[in-house]
Amino acid sequence: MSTHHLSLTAIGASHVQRGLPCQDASASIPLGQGAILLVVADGAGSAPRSDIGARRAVELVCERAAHWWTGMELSADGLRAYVHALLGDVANAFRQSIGTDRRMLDGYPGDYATTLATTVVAWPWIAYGGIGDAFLVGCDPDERLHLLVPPSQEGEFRNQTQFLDPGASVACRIVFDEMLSGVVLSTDGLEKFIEERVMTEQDGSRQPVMWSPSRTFAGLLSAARNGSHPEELAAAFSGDEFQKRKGDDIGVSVAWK
Amino acid sequence: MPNCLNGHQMADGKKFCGTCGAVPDRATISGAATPGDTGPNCSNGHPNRVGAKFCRTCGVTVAAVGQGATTSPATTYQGTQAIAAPPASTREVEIASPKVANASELRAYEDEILPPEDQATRNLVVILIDNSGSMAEAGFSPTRTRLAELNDALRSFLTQSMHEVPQLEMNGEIAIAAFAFRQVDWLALDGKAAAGSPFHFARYIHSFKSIEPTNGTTPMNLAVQAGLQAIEERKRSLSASGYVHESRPVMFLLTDGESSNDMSEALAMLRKAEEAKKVLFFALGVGNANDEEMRKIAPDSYYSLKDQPIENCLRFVSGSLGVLSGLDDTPSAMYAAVRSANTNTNISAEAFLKGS
Repeated sequence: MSTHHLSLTAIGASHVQRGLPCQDASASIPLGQGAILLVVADGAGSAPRSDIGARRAVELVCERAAHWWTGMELSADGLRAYVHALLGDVANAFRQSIGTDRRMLDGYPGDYATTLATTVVAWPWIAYGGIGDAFLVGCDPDERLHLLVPPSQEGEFRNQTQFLDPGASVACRIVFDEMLSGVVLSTDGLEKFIEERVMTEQDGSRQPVMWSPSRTFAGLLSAARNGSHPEELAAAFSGDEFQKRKGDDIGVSVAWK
Repeated sequence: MPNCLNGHQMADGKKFCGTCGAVPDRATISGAATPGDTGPNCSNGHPNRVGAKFCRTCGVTVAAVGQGATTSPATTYQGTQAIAAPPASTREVEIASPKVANASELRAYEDEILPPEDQATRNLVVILIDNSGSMAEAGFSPTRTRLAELNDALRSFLTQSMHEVPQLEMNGEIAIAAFAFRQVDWLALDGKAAAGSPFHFARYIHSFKSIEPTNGTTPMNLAVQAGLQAIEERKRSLSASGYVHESRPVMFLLTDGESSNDMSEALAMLRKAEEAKKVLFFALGVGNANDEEMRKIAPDSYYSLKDQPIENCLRFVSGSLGVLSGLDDTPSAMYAAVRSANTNTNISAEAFLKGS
């Protein structure tokens, strides 16, 4: 079974307005044995060199992903071990890059602050590993959507997050689902396309927050399946229609059967 | 016995599934349907009234007839088997297939945007307006008072420009107070967010009743304290009801003078709240604002706009919220980001920062 994949970034309207570069980065690479690795990174808005940090983080994942994949056992334990080994390795290498990589010689470590999220797609296995906020949507052949990993809540406020660092905790989720035919890994730039509501019982007691991914994610997979290029999709996401919900950079990586 | 949304059998009366944590599927609870539920079912198979936009049971969008509506319960999808248990709130949604042929057909689907009161996340913004007697003096235009200019600017902000700020239009709550003499009066606006709260849903504000002039002094200390208290109470109330705060609340103070009272207690509260990352505070000076005092009140975030039309104060509010969206850092880093952004925008140029 062949797996197709693409990745894209789209600069946010607020970044254009402020003259800032796109601080998100993304990639998708084959791992071997038919598996694909999706990667997205979101540079911190207040960090002056976070665009460089995000790109470096994605580069490091791409450089080191195959090494840890060799001999990997396709199981929940195996995938979990892979995610932790890869992100731990990348976090250490990222720290070492600051002050040694030619693009990261200036400033403080915090200037390069970025989140990082990865997803191994080895149907029917899906393995998410992330540091900081990102989310993962799955789609079945009938284009029903499933929020596999919701946006995270690290502190009192939703926009608080943690950044790539050897001391950061890794969020991991392993899914086995024979019905999934597509997945979308995204930075928080598309967070407003996850409907999120508080449900309250008639007696006033509250239920957990309910999440609903937007049809946009099914549309993205549909467009990708039909051969749309990442540049065309990025142009769509940069448009007013998408930007008026949040105005942030968007980093997306997609895989489908 | 009812099933949960993922199909697991649940004990009667349980609110959450013991296996996966999901909520009960109301369609499997006897008597869940009520007379009048003759409209289309939602994608999870729950009965709803004709014309219902969102399912009263699970909250998903109810398709209108002819738009993929289903009149018989949909089969609950049970394919996902998360090795790590999925979050209790995760659920599947059946949708009308978008059939997007290419990137140009990709859509943002306006019908999916929830009303602000139904959204789980909120942004809180407070604006404190000096309504002392000096606001009746000539404004930027010598033929109009500052207060008249401010009323026009506020009306334009509340009915137009504010609605272009995603942080307010999507899920923002705003509270505006006018302070003078010994009083802080919260303005009555459209779209009250909650009883007893001065906050209003920004999306529903489409009119504005002008602030009336007073002969009062400038109780800036009371205004700052009232703003901090309103934010804290609203945050506490939202948290208790399960809502999530999207970003740090922001408070703006606009003045044309100086505080009539001792500010030390209010400043201690403000500094404590800033350091605890509970609030961001910006002060904007117009007219005869005491720049020296204001720089003490807001050392990193005072902007003297004396040589600017008063409407720029409201443009500053919009612009700052755009900059702050998505940022989470120390107060000084957040203030620096706004200051840096203001030097790059057309509305504020270098003159915008004069005296700051």
